[in-house]
Amino acid sequence: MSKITLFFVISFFFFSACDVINPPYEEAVSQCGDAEQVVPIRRILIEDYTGHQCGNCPRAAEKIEELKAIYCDHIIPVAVHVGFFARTNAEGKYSYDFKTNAGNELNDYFGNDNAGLPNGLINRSLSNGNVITPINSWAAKVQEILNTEPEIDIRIQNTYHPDTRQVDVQITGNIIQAFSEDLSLVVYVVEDNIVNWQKDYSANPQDIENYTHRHVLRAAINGTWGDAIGNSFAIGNKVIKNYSYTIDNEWDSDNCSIVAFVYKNANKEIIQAEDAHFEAE
Amino acid sequence: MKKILLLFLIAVSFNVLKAQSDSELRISGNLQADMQTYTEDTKIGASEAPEKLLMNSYANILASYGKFSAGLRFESFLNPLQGFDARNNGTGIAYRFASFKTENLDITIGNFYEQFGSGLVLRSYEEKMLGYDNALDGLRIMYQPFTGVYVKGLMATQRLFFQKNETGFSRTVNQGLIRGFDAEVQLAEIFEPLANKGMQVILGGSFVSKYQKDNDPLLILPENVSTSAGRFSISFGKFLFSGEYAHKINDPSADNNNIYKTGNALLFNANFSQKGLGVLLSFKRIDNMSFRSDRNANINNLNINYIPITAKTHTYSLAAMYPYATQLNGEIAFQAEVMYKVPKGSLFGGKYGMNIALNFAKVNSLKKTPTFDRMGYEAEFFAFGEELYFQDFNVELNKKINKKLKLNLIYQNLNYNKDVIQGLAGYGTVKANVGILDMTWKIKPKHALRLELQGLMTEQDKGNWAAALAEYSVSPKWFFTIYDQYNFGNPNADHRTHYFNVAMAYIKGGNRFQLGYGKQREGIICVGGVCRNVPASNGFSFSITSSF
Repeated sequence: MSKITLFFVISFFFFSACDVINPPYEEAVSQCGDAEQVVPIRRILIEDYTGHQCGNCPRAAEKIEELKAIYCDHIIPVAVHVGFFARTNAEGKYSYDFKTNAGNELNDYFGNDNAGLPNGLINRSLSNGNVITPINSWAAKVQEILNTEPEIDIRIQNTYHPDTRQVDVQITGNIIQAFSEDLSLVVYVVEDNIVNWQKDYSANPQDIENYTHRHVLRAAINGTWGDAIGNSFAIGNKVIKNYSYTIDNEWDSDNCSIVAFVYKNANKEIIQAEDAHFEAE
Repeated sequence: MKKILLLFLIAVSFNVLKAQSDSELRISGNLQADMQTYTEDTKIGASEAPEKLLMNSYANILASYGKFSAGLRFESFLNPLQGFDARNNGTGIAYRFASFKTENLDITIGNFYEQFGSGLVLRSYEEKMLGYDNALDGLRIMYQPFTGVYVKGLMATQRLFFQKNETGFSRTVNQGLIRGFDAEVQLAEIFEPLANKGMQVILGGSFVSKYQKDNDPLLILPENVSTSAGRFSISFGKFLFSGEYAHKINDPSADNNNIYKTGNALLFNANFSQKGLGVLLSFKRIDNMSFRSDRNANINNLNINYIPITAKTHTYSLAAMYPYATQLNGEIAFQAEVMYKVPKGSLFGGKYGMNIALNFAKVNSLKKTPTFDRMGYEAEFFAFGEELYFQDFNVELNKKINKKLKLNLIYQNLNYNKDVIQGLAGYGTVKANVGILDMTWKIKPKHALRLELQGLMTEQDKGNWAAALAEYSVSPKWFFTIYDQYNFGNPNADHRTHYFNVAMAYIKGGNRFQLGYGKQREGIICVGGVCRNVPASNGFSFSITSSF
């Protein structure tokens, strides 16, 4: 008899272990304009590794918009077209080449394409031991980094000259917390709203001609891995770097912006990012 | 980890001392090492390994003494062979356990493999070919409270590759928590009249729940997700019927794109067998049944359950070129197989008779209607969706011509939806016809020559293939194999490549050594509907298998 009782106790214990969720399924956690946030705020780089022939990749782009609505200025998205799914056809659809040298080198280093697109890097920091983060984990990763105080405040000043298509950029890094670690600064050009073909498995037809590609990485002004900016910083120190870059004729300067970020050389983890739209002279 | 090792060693040495008494200490084990060199071959898409030589190896050691047993598996991936996840990289003890077993009680601590029913809610297993290992790590108790009643309970975490911990030991990385309970009643053991009539009735039920913290700031995720299942099996005379139904509560995950729909699975099998004739019918329906201990896991990682495959598994290389991979998000399938032995002395049977096996399997999409909300879709229960995922019709004839010659003939007609099965787009469905002839000729005692000729005809994908194999064996010690696969119908003339291979094996006692050289085509291998990509390679391979 006691055996039967034992079964019921065990069964009850197990059957109680389930959570049925009823709508609404979403949590309201907007971090936009939160007065309690530390200033300057932590700004997080989300690299969305994607490809125009990757039919699941529009899900990542949608996830970024979803995150944008919640985290606003806290996140800086960059879409990096890489690998097999970014391959181009000789003509017709998918003939436009979104790939960049910087993107190819990043992909070689982090291995995003091999891990199956879409996926992303959130500040290039580790998530469950992996730097490559599946889109379902992006929000959790952002949330985890969000409320830490930044070590450095990055400011971007730029002047774009439409006649020569040159952009002059000055990056200023203000050290907020003392720091002794090898750091590097990277400066990218990103173009928003490029209209071209995109594969989408959940669309019908799957080939979308006028798809708007958001936040596309165009070039690394100072190379894929940027410039070293030192290894020992005291509060109040300033790092100033100047760059000039001539943008490609095809790029629409109205949609271009500068993205700058600082990372630790040792593990490539980004500690702060910033972006600024092109300012025409 | 260290403590468990120590316990294990103490147990072993203690047992050695006592070995002379009532019970005997037994130690057994096995070892396997697979090594391969990689040379670049741009024509077939093979890449060089920077390390030149890679190795997957493992060894099991098992000690038992009376009611106690303990064992461990040592693994060394230095570095993993191409096509295996790089997170396997490392050396260490990936599996260790100790157990105590009496007549009606069996307790295991540490790692164990387990399956409830047909695996719809829980199956933990290992498959070296796939690099698949979802071993559980925790506590399991199996108990037989009454005659004919079997219960199991477990609490565990699950293996995901390797990770070094601070002490330098390799250990398994655990994610999510799994709780499971299973009970089975074998009625014939309880009610003698049933047994006397030759009737066997088995009823079973299981419950599995996983826990993973909700760390997603956007969605309210269920932290405890449960599945439950009921099953039966009735055999009477020449008939055997069995079935299982499983239900899963809301489980938004990377697999189902975070929908809150419940999942379910239904399996049904009917068998008839008598001398010279066997008939098997199966039906399966899967709806949103991926179940992993980490909701963000993908590929073959951290699966808690297993969905049986409803299609024949082929072993000949070209027949296995387009293998089916189970679609966890939804599929509806049936399979029919008839095996018949043409009697000896009849027109087709000849002196030795002839075996015929007919098999047909078909897998379709579910009939889904999207709901455009977080429930995802609604699906009709018994309706086949319009999209064909996989269809395989095959006939196999097996005939002994005389004392020296045996023949095996296979015809296969295949429809393989490459887009769905491989998660791609734009390739469509591969329609192929495959023919295979396999002859074994016993030249003289212990010496045999086996010849295989295979052809695969298709207008899609990589076009037509032919393959030939010759294997000479001097049993039980030597094997020599030479084979070639030729992609003569590739639409791209530059890729009409030969994949030539030679291999030899030497077997002595419990040891087997194999040396090979050749090219491996890019492809997919599947075991039971679970698959792994195999990259193209070119190089030498060497493997050792031994048991002691």
